Amino acid sequence: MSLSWIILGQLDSIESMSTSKKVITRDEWERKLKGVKIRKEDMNKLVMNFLVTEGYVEAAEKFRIESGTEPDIDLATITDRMAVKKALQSGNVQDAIEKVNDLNPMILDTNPQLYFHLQQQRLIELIRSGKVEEALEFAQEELAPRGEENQSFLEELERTVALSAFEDVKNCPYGELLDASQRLKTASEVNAPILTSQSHEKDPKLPSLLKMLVWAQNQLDEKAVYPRINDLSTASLEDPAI
Amino acid sequence: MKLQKMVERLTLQPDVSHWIVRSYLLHYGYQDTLNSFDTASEDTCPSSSAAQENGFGEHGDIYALNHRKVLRKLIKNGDIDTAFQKLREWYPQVVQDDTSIVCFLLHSQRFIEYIRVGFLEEAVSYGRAELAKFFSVKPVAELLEDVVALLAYNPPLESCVGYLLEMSQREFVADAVNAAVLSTNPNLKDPESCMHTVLEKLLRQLTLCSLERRAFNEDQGEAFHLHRELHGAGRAKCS
Repeated sequence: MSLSWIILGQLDSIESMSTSKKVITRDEWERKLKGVKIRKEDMNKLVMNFLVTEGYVEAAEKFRIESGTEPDIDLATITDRMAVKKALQSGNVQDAIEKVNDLNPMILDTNPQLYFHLQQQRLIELIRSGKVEEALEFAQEELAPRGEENQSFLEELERTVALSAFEDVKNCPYGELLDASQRLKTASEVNAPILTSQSHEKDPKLPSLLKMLVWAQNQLDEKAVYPRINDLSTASLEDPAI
Repeated sequence: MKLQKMVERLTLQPDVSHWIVRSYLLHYGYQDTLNSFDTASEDTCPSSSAAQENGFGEHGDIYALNHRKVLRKLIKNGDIDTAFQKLREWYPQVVQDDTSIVCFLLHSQRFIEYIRVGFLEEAVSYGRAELAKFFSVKPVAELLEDVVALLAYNPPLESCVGYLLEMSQREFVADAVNAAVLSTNPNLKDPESCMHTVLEKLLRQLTLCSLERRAFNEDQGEAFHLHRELHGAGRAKCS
């Protein structure tokens, strides 16, 4: 038995020698990196794309002036989008809904979940301002019918309505629905369908490129040992461990 | 498409994109953009300013931010004379050696601006006074030839050296001045960092890894190429 193990052991080391990876030294890698040219205007475009898709209107305007980069979308449409967000953040849900419909009436028609969440937010705002009667009426007329169509809507509706049963709303169960974060959550839910309806990609390109880098390194790891970037925030090269 | 989905499923450090964009704006001195960005980010991305909590390092490039912004604006507007004046006032060490690359680029740009408005006589005078000395400076001799060649064409914009009249050339000079000013930082830890942003390094690494990997496949298939990625027919994004 021990003989076969010895033979197997030798086979093993021969195998790992034949699949040994190409080693690229730091110097060589840096030399090759120098040969890769990235155009400034392309990087500017990438940054502009980020600002625009994430809705930084003012920053995009300033960037256009400071860098001469043209945004890949009409900045006025970002302003519209941000107006919706702002309305939601101040608790003016009706205003927000109107604005969304002004932009494109199809958005809410084709996004029932979004519409439900907007209505839910409206309910929350009514409860927050102490208008309990109005809130319950609203819940019964507008939200209950939707709840009947959809189990998860019903659950969310019940949770929201439960808020009205408590005196000290902030400290009851589901009190987190009254947090600003809930408004933000609804606001970010609105962003994507608007972008899509404007035929704009809803995600900025930069995070995808970062993921591509992680992927590309993982792929190359199979074949080579080379300086890696392990921390994206510094982009510092780490020497290959030999 | 399947590959794209697998890549999309990878997770990144939270807010790292935000950090990288901020770093870029800071490095190149886009101060107004940066201020708007920071103000707008307070609500959505507080972690970027509380950088240490997220494990991000310090932004090194806050040095001389306002000056760099002013210099960039001057150069982008073609006002090279004022740019020179400001540099002499604020960072004389950058323009001290009149045969440096930075001085070459600035003088060339001044020459180009004369050509742009058709002041050929002034261009020739300026060229004789300020550009002639660069013919013996090897690294810039070729570019100098292109610059001077602008005199030979009418209209210069449509010639093979017309690229010098584009805004991208002004930006190139602005970036060089930016790097030179950054290099005067007494607390500078890494001289290399004056030249390149984190974003650029990441994109270079991505490109190189992609090329190297492709080399193992006998150069089949497409390697990553940023320009093509940005301008290619938009791939339909699966949500």
